[in-house]
Amino acid sequence: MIEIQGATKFFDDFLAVSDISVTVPDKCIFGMVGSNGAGKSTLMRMITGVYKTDGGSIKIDGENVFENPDVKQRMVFVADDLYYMGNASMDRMSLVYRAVYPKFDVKYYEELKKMFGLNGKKSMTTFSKGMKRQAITILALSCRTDYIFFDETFDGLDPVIRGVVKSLLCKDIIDRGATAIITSHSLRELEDTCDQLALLHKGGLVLQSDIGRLKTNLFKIQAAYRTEYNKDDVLRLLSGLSDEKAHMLHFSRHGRVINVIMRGDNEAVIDAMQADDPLLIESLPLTLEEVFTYEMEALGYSFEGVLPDKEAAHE
Amino acid sequence: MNNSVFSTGIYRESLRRLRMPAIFMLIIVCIQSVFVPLILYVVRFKRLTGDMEDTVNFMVAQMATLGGMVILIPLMAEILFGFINHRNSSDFWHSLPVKRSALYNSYLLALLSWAAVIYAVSMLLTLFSYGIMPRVSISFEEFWDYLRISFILALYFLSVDLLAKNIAGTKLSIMCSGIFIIFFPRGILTFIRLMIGAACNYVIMDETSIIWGNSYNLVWRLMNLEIGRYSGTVYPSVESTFAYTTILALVFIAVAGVLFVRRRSEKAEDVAVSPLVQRMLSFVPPIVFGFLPCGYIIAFIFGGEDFDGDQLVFLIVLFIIAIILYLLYELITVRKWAAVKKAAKSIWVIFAIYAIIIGGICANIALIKSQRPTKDQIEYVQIYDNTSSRLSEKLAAEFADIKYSDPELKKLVADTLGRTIDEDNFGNLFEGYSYRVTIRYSGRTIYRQLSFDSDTLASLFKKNPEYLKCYYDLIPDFGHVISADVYGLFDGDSSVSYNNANFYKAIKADKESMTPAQWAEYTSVGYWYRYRDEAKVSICWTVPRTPSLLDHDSYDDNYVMLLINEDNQDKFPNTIKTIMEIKIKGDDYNGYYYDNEEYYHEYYD
Repeated sequence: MIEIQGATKFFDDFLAVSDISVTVPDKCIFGMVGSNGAGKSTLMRMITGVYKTDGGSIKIDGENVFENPDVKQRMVFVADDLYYMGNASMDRMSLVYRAVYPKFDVKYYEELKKMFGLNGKKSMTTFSKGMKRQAITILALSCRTDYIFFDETFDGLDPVIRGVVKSLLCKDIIDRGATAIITSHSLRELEDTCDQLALLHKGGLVLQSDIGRLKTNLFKIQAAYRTEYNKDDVLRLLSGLSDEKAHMLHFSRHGRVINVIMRGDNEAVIDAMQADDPLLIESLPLTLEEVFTYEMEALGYSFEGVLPDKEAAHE
Repeated sequence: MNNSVFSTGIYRESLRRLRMPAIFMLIIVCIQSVFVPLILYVVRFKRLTGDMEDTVNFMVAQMATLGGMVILIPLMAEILFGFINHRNSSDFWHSLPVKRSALYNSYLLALLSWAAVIYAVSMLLTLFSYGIMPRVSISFEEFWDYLRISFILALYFLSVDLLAKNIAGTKLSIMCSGIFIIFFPRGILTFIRLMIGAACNYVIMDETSIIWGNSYNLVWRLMNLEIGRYSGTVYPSVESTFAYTTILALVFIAVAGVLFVRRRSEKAEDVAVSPLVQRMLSFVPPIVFGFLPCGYIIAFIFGGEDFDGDQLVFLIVLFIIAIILYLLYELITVRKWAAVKKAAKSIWVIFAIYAIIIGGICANIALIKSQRPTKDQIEYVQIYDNTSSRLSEKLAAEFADIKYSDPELKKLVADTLGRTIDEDNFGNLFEGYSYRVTIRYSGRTIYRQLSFDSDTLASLFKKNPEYLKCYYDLIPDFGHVISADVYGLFDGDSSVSYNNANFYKAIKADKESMTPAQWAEYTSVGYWYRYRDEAKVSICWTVPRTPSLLDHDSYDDNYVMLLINEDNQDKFPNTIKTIMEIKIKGDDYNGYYYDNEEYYHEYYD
């Protein structure tokens, strides 16, 4: 289990990670998402012992990570900015991993190379961006560690390879009981892959939840009333509910049809909104991307007013 | 084996990574050590016949190794250690399950392992290639010296590179840091020495002092940075330079290791490891340039010249240039105008440093000038004749150990010191015949370079029983004398051969028949030395036995030339002009003194 307590990181005067506390249970795929510059990569480097924390602690199974080879032997980290030596080939890089990871599985490595169709003897400088990420992913998975860290996991990978990588990760979790922490801006992929998710913004943790509960707590209500309803009208309908049960994140209207993004109790909100006898009302699940967008919007991270209005453009 | 100190996996991996440049160097070494000797044999050595012999010049024979390794080792360091200055490589290597100290040590050992292999192959191949050639001799001593020079230089540059990499972050800042490390500390000391030396040129701050002597640093010594030297400069031995530079390199490597372990991965690609370090590095160019205005100010304070408007303008211009250098360094390393604006707020620090330098030097000069004991205050003096043409280093040191408390000698020293301080003008380099004088007074010891009339001094010396004893013992006990050369006979430099064994016995008999005081009357302090298996003595023509042997004329391997003391010329034929010097060459090394200093000057100058 990974326990992060009050993790803080400064880069000179800049606070990159601010007092984050997260617990990552074993045998799961834990996703980290956030706005650009939220601190995901920084936090991941802190967890993998690349950066030393300036405050708080990060422990894996009760042991500190930084400068602890015994713990670090149980984890492998693939950064967003890939690294390979000079003109090294995959096979050459595998020697580096084999030098420090005693459990490196050569047979598995050969299998994966064959599966992905990569030439292990060719210099990695001749690989495309996606092929480089495939290569490093293969090398990392071949280390057979208990903890796998991928930063920008799917960056540069085509949809087919993404599927393969997701399958391999799941296989490792199921077969070996490994734990994976991955970050990606491709929320569609994370939605399919992750059990748990953490959302970061400006160095702080916004929320941590398992995917199912996240989608339950956040939902979209689409309704149509006899007259055109505005935001205040909806707030009036919901005024009898506590903020915990009904917190509006977003309101939009197209004619008489309104879309409201809510956090809270689905049934309670529908009951409240049915008070004015709508022509139509239904609750729709949100995609992870929508969850991300609306949560960020609530935090003030939006670009409304910067881009031209779609409706006005259409007219 | 993987622990906090060393990782076998990383060591093997590093050996693999350095394979290419190492093998490339080995190929060059093989060409140099096999094909070049072959060519030399065909072109030159094959012609040697009979008793002819030739010697291998190892600087030429090993040039590729000697020079190549000085470049290769830092290059190998860049391959292994360069990762800390790039973001993605730094993240990768720091994410691996290896302690940073183990990473550092394993990398270093891999690098030194390859270096040892290359040196060993080069050495063995070269020795074998030339060793099997008939009539070709090898100076193992020379070979060993050049090998050490190459290795120590390579080690030193490696250590500077490692230190610079762990202080700075970009290629430019690393290069600047390396240059600062090599030249700045010694540069500051050299400046202080120059200023104090110019204001008080009787103060001894020469090359034998570890603090003031630049010749302990092999780089400075090879570059022959003869700053502030004077004709009587005494140098440390070559072995001292080797030892000092090696220890310095090892200290740098250790410090670099500590910084490597503590260095934060996120600092990769930063200009320096911290804003404070960057600020300190940016102060170096203006401080170095500041030697000029600071020296100018100190010269005015002690030089006694008038300070007018032109000089003030000149000084202001110099200070402005220093500020520009400071801001320029910041701009070209950090490449942000905001950083330059921030740096501008610390300009006052530069002037504070100038004030400290000027104040410190002036205070020291004032202190030195105030150190002028009277003869009654002096406990004892020691006088060292340090011009090697008179006495060799070793012999001079024997006399220098003598502590004179004779009142006349103390008065001479006190008066000379006082007069020297009063007459000293800023900037006059010390010239002329001088003695290194140690003065002990009021519980402290000071060292000064003073000029005495040699005859006056000699006459005072000869009143001291300890001096006479030392003088008396100058003639060594040679078990067997091979030859004795006496210079400057009769027609100037022509030589006359004499039976050396008898001559030597005669000299010894002459000496032993006299008291030390009598012997001192017959001999001159000048032109004495002992060098390896040789001793050179000067004997007055009027000693009882020795000159009688001039009647003997023998042109065998043992010959003698005579020089006559100028003071006694009136007693001898006019053609005899110079002091009689007898150079005795013996083969019994037990009683010999080996003078490294002479060897060095013969070898390196």
